[in-house]
Amino acid sequence: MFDVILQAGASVLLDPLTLGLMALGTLAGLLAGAIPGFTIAMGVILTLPFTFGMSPIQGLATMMGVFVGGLSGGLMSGMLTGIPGTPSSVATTFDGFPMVRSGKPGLALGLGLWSSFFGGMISAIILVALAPQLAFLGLEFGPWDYFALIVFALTITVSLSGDNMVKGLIAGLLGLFAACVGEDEINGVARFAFGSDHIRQGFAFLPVLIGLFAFSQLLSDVEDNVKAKSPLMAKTADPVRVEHRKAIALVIKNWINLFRSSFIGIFTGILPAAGGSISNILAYDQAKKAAKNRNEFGKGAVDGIIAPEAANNATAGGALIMMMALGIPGDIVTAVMLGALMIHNIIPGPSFIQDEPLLAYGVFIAFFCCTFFYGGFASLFIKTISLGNKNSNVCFGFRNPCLLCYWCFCTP
Amino acid sequence: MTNNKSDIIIAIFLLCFSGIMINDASNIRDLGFEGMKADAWPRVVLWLLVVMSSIMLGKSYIQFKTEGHKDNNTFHVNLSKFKNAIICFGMFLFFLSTLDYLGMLLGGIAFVFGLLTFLGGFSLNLIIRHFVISVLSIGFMWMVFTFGLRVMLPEGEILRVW
Repeated sequence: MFDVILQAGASVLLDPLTLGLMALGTLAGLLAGAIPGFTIAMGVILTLPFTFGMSPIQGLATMMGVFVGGLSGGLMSGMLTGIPGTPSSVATTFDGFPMVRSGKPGLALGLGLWSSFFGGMISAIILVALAPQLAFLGLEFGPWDYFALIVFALTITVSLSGDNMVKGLIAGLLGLFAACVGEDEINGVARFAFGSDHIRQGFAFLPVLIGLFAFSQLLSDVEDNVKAKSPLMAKTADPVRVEHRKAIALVIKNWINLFRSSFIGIFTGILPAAGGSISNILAYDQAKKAAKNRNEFGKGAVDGIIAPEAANNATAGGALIMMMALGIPGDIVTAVMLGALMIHNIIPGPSFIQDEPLLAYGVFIAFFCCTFFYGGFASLFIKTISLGNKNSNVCFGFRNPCLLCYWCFCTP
Repeated sequence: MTNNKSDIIIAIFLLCFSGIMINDASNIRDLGFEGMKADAWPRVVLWLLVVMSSIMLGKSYIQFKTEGHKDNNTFHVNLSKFKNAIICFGMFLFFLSTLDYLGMLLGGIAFVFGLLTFLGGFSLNLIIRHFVISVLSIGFMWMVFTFGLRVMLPEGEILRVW
């Protein structure tokens, strides 16, 4: 096994082109994740046509970079503007945005960056060490287990409701109803379409996400005329400086939360169709339940940033286990990667790791490398974005119409 | 408008909404297969929504009655607080409804310019700045999506690209 790992490592690490493509992919993923409404799946799908002419390992390594970069790119826009860049960074906004608004943008961004990095590293180590063994867990899931998982996910509504349980439950029910609109997935019967072909197709995830998180945020921003004309980050007098040392110290100090969240991320990633969008909220919920001072959550709690960011990066490892060991996509991104494998005449399935050990372990090592690339690029990129936000003096009133229109471009 | 008042209005709206949807659920076709029908799960969700909305209405009304004296017990709704949001929403709906005619480029420029001018002010200097911002930002996005990413955006009747 170690021979195979060494050979796979050499095919990835000693090839400058593969390394360059991974770096480029990670940077592209970071950019894609930082733009609200631009999902990781969109980034990976846009990358796919460029990989046709590459070797399988180069193509997968490039997409891996986009995947890893995109998973945490969303934290920047989520923290700085209150609008999550990707569904996997929704929970980061709960505490990241309040921390930025309270005048600690450098610490908030540093916490997000380093908890993502450590979460990704934990996930990568487990992926390489336990991939074949962990894959058996996914095989054991039957219908009742899936049902229990969904019920478990719905209990998060109670945790997120805060003081007003009835309103939280109503919000949850409205979400369940929104999922009922359109064609019934089992027998294809139209539900609540009112004769419209558009409604018959149901609500796509991205427009709903933009409407719920972005449009509502923009409307509350323009509610007050004075606030609408004020700069985005008025409370920080100096350009943002990412507090790396303090952030690393805090992440290590909260190591229990880091490991718990990373394992939640890995486990969620292993489950088919449960990706970073679920894991970040699950980890946030568990961190809140385990915290001594629950009242701090929602107001800029350190644990509230570490948990979702560690979990969403760790999800990638779990999703890869399912993809490589069983040929079952863990989420949309890994489904696209499976498609890329098939383009190269490689059929994924339970025997994939045995049939293509070099490629399988090459992908695992690429995931490792991309996490390091992410750490490096994010350190530079976060500062640039922060400085850009601070120095541009862009106000809500100028930003909001352009963003609103941009999202219309993203969801045609 | 106090929270209780807005909660009462929202609860009444949700009850009306649930009623309309429950009524429409009877139009969902039954294909005659065994097992759970297509309308079963939506009905469960909607009836739960009715129950929750009723609880919210009851709770809000009781609180409104007990704390109503602080607000003269009137049901006057102050919409001026939501003026910006309502106009923003209205302009967005107008933008969407004219998208088939104006297309994403012209409609986007018009929407961004209108909203910028409404939120930013009406002086000549600002209007020129808003026009430049809207043309540059939307023009750039349109070019990236149309020519860079080859996304088929709504082109409208006036300006045809494809």
